[in-house]
Amino acid sequence: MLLPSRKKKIGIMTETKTVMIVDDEPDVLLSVAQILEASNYRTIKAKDGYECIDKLGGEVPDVLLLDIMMPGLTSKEIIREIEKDRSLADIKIIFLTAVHSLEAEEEGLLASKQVIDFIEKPFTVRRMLDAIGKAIEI
Amino acid sequence: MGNTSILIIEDDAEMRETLNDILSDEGYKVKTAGTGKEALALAKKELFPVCLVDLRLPDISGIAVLKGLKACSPDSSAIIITAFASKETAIEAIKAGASCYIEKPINMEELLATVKRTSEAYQLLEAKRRAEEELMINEEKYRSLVESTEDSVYLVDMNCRYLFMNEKHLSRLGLSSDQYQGRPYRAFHSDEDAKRFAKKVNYVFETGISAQHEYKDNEEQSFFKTLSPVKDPETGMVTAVTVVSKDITEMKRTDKELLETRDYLNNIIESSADTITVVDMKGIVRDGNKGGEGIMGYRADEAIGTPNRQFFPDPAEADRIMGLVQKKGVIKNYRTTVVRKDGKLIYVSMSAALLKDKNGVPIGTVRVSRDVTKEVELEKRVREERDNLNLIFESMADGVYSVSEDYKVEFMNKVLREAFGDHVGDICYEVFHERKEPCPLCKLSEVMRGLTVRWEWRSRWMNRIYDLIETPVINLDGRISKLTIFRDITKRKRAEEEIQKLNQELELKVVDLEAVTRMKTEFLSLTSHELRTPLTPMKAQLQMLEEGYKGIMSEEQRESIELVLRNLARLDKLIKDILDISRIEMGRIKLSFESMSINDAVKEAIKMQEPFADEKGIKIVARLAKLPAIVGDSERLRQVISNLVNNAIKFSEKATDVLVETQRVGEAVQFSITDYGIGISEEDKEKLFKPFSQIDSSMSRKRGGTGLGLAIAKGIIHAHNGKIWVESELGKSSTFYFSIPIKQRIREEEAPYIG
Repeated sequence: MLLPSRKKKIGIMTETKTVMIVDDEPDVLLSVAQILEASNYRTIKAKDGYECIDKLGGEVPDVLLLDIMMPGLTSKEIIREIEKDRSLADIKIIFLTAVHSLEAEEEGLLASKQVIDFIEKPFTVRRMLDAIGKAIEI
Repeated sequence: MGNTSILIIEDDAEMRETLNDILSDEGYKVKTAGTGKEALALAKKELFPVCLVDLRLPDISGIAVLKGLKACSPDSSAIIITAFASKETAIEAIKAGASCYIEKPINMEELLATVKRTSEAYQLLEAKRRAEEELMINEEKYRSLVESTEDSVYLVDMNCRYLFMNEKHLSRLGLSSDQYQGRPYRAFHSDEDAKRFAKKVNYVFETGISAQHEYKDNEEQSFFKTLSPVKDPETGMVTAVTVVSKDITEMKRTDKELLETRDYLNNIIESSADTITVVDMKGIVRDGNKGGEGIMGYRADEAIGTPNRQFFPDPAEADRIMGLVQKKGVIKNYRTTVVRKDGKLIYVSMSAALLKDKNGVPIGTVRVSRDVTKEVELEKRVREERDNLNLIFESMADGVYSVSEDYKVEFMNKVLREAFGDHVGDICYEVFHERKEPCPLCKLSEVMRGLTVRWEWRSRWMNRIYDLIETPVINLDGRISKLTIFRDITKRKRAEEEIQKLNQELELKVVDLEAVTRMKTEFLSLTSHELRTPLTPMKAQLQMLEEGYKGIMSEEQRESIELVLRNLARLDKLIKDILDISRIEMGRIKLSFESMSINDAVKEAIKMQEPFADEKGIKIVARLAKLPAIVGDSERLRQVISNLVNNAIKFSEKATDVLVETQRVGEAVQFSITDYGIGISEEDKEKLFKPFSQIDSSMSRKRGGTGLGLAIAKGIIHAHNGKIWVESELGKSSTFYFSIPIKQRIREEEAPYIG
């Protein structure tokens, strides 16, 4: 899926990029982290929305992998919080969900300018790495 | 002469009695008084035409008595009796009203003569006065008669000059009572009339005989005048003529009307369409009108004088009619047949009456005959039709009966007669309902008003339901009857009610079923979603192992991992399909419309499926026509085409071709794919596109696939306003088609993005 292009950051992948993963399923959280860490990303794990907001206060990741259906704060509320904070404006958000993209769109989840991609569960390793790679490149 | 009352006033008793005796003997009615007072008292009570008065009385003077008597009755005559007649006394007495005097000693003869003379003179006077009075009364009587009459009355002299006229005539001439005297008749009438009137007056004067004179004035008023002579009673000569003039305008007019009415009646009779004939007692036609010609074909003059027997087909009928009229005096609307002049028989309705002379002896009959052939024929036809109708009613399975306005059964058809017995002539509510009075639901009054009523009668008593049609029928005699046709609809009604009940139950069940379906769909959607979640880390971990993230694996280990991954992919596909079908069933399928090429989608799908086809040695042959772009969801359509291609490969015999074609058909693009495999039976075609109803689940499992692909394909194609179908020859080949309109009609908010 092609999304409208944004202001392009020119940079070479020299420093380690940080990806925050938010998912209420610990196994998913772990698996995704393992895949990314094996590809030299630094990961921050959050098991729900509150932990996500909390940890964003400590460190700002480059990419945020966000599960859509979680208990507690909804992904919509998380995005609203991020958009409020100017220091978080550069975070690229990728949805990670079992929900169909069109249904997500209907929910207004893709409205945010920071949301750049949408990975359907279950994903392939290749799809995951491609998405993160693209997010970093932008 | 006698009985004249005489009062004797004499103080000398002897003298008084003597006079009394003598006069009484002469036949006079005598009363006596000894004093003046006594005399006056008597005179006040009674009339005495003759009084004998002694001038010397003990109480009052004779003169005073005389005056008193005169005051009581001025016409009475007083005879003074005096012993010493002095000229002075006599003159005084005459002045006081005495008629004469007699000296004492009385010469009786002289007295009697004087009394007689005086009495006669009084009686003459009396008679004259009475005659005058009578005359006066008579005059008044005649005058009031003359004045009160409605007729004009006047008196004319020989020269036709008015001597008298009554008020009526005054007002007619516009005169007042002092204006007419001596004016001539001609001043108020036309010259011509005046001349004729003068002639008549002369006639009366000359002959002394009454005459009549009719006169019409210029205002169309007619007068009838009777002229009578007024004769001098002594000479018998005519002195004047009285005229009594009667206004006969109204009478004339009435006469005229009567005449006209008679003419009119004659005209009616003449022009009547009915035959009117007069037949004498011998049966000879004596008179006839023109109307007869039209009916019978005979002119009146042809018929008159001939015997009327010739007009009847049975001559005896003429005698019968004559006999009837003679017996009854009048016959009305007697139906018979007569022969026209042209020999044709016609029906007539005859009314006839007996004619009698002044003495009541029958002299003939007058007959009015009307041609009723048409009516009779109509009646015959109506009767025939009625018979036909009755035949139909007889053979009907429905009950048919008719009742008169007084509830009498007039007709029952066979069905009813078999059920109730023959009750014609009985009262309907008594025989059908065992009631004493009309049924409360009876529609007789409505039907009698001319209404046709259809209603349903639920008889609780018999536990049956009837459909009744009740309608007025007019009988030949004009009476209205109620015709009822009824049908036992109990079975039908019960069935209808049963069906209604079942329908209601079914409706409830459908509602339930819809709820269940929705729940099922929602359940599937939710569980599918939940199933995908554990699949995610499983797949991720296995892939990491396969990719060597967790170290190098032996070939056997890798094969195991690949096997698990393959089945995981199948599971994932199944879950995805269930999600899709759930969305379709919930009507929640979302399409991302854009301008796209079907051919591109076909090429991509073939490319994806080629490795699989290669495995089975199957060649995919594509014949793609040049097509216009359509508006659609390219990903979803590719999914459909992939599914169809995949199915075709699966069900193809090894090493056969799968033929893929696209073409434009009208305003749509059509895709088709043919495999040469097992084919599909007619009945299976129906099931094919339904979810979870695989033709043969074992087959499906063997060949791989979820059994949902075609249901999803159908949902997606329908969401594109397209059609999807299959044609197949069992054991040979199957061809799946879908077509999508080139121009989509999409609502505003779903407008596709066309780049």
